Amino acid sequence: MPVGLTDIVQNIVNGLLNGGFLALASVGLSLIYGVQKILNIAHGAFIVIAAFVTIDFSILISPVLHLDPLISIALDFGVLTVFGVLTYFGLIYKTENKGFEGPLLATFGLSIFIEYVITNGLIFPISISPTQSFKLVLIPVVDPSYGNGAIAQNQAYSSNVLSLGGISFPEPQLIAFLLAFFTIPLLHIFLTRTYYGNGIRATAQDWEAAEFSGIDVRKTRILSFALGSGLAGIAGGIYAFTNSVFATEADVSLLPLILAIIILGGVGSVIGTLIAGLVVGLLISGSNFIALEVLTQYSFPSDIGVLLTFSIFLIVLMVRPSGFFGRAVK
Amino acid sequence: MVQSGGTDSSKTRKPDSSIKKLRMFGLGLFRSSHNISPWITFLGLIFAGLLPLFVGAGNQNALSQYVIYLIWITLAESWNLIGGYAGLINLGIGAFFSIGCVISSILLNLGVSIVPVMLIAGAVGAILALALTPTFRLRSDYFAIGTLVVPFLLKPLVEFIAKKSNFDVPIGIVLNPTLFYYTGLGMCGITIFGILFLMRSRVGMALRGIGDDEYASSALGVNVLLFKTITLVVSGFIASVAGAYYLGVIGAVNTTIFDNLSFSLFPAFMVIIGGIGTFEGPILGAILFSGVSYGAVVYFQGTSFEVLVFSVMIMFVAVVLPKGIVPTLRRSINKRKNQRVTPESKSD
Repeated sequence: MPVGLTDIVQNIVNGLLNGGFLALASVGLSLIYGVQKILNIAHGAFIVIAAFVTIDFSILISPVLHLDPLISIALDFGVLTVFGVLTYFGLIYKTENKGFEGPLLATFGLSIFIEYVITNGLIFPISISPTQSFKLVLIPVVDPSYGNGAIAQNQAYSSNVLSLGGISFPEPQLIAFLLAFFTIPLLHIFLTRTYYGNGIRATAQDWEAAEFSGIDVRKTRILSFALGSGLAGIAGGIYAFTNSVFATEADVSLLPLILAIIILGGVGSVIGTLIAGLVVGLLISGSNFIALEVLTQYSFPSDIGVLLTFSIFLIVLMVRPSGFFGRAVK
Repeated sequence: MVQSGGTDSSKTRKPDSSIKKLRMFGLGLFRSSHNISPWITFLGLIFAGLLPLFVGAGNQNALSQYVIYLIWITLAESWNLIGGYAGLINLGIGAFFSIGCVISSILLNLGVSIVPVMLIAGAVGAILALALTPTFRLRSDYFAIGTLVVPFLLKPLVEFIAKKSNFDVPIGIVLNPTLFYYTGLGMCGITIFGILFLMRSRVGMALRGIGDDEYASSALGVNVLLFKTITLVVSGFIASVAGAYYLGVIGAVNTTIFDNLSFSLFPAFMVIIGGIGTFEGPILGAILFSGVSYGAVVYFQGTSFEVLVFSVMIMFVAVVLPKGIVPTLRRSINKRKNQRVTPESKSD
């Protein structure tokens, strides 16, 4: 099968556009893991929450008030920041000093909880007697398609495709990429130029020394957790516009990739995460392209890119655990 | 960090003659007189062995629900060996479990009976564990992240090699439920007492040492890499055997089982709920956890409400009972004992 130059360039563009989203999805967890050394398993579920906020916004609110669905990304950021603070005080605050596995399990429970509530709602079946029973509805079903993703698939921001010299740029992906390129450097500036950002970086490096220097470590941890969750919110909004969202599958397919990206980019390094996200995006689309379009006779599996990414991730983890842009790990 | 099974208080005690005799007959693993849990577990296993008589041969459905307990206990024991005693937070147990499932399906389709299938699947799991030994270069939490990704790495690999994603038991093979139950019971019993025996041996001493302080053990001449490898291989073997057995319960498996974080994280959770690094912890945690989730399934029939129940349970235990049931109980008992001790004897 002949492969033209346009196909190759188109493939690189697709990889980069996807990589921008992956970087944005990872940077929040990188921040949280860098500062607190806790692994928030529910990060993928946070992204799913934000995606459903965006979906519900564009179904329910934006046609009524004639608002652009893109505004919901700001809403996502706000909702997830609040949710992050609640999670911090509910689960992380008590467990963060008791080793690595405490917060891990707590957030694992949270991620199952979120998946359940999104698809089924928080409805308690209460039976008073064998004949009488009623349902106590605390939170209604958030997923408009009850976990099937059927309605969600139609919620792409727009189906416009910009074309430039034979290479197509789908508009939602382009917006996602630009948003990632806008948000991540902004985060970098926040972390390097402001007082609170410096506090976060100092806490990440050595929280005891930071405390001696007069930084309120507790507040800094809350701030970083809230900020990381908020970034997951932005990523979730983008996710809703570019992908079909399945409440039960999104965190499973996203979390391992996110982990790979934060390790490759170096924990706590924002620009490193951006570059790693782009590299992983390119790697996935490139290897998929080569395996499925060029070397068709071997009938490679469709997720060969993922296989390659995780292999590289494990090798990098063993050879250089600090990633390409991270500080050396003790 | 890791609590030994109450042996530290026996320093001043002389072993009495009956225990000496027991040790002579090779029953030394039951030795410590104030730790009766191995005996209780042994009695429990005997009771479980008699269970098919009570349930009745006609009621096979009732028997099959107890099989789930056996699988979870085995998996939790496997995780406790590596995560509890050796202190390596392995979040990739699901990889061994799933590969066991897949191997089991392939071999059952070739007409091998279930016990050799389980052993071969265990051997494959052990080989996989050997292939994963380079991950020991990683520090504790990086080890956790690295192992968490392993199932996701294996999924495309298995699909690529086998050229299919659905694995099932051939329809012709109908596993005898009673025999199947006893196979599971044997697996569970051998695992529990095998690990107890292992932990009372030289290997177990070394593992506890590594779990407490890796560098100190290394300085004392313990070959850390060798013992870590032994742990990973043994726990991988057990998890794969459990996976091979699990296929007999569910009948068919899709490669999406590799994506299921539950099989990696539930065993860890069960061990933590019961008490990490204790003998009783994994057994208690697995029985409690499967009991609660089974109860929720029965009580909220037709809904998936049990998911909500155990998600809340996981969060609750992680926040309120981070040390687990057994160490918490043990601490409160020790506190009561110390209150009874007179000030003179306390001073030395």
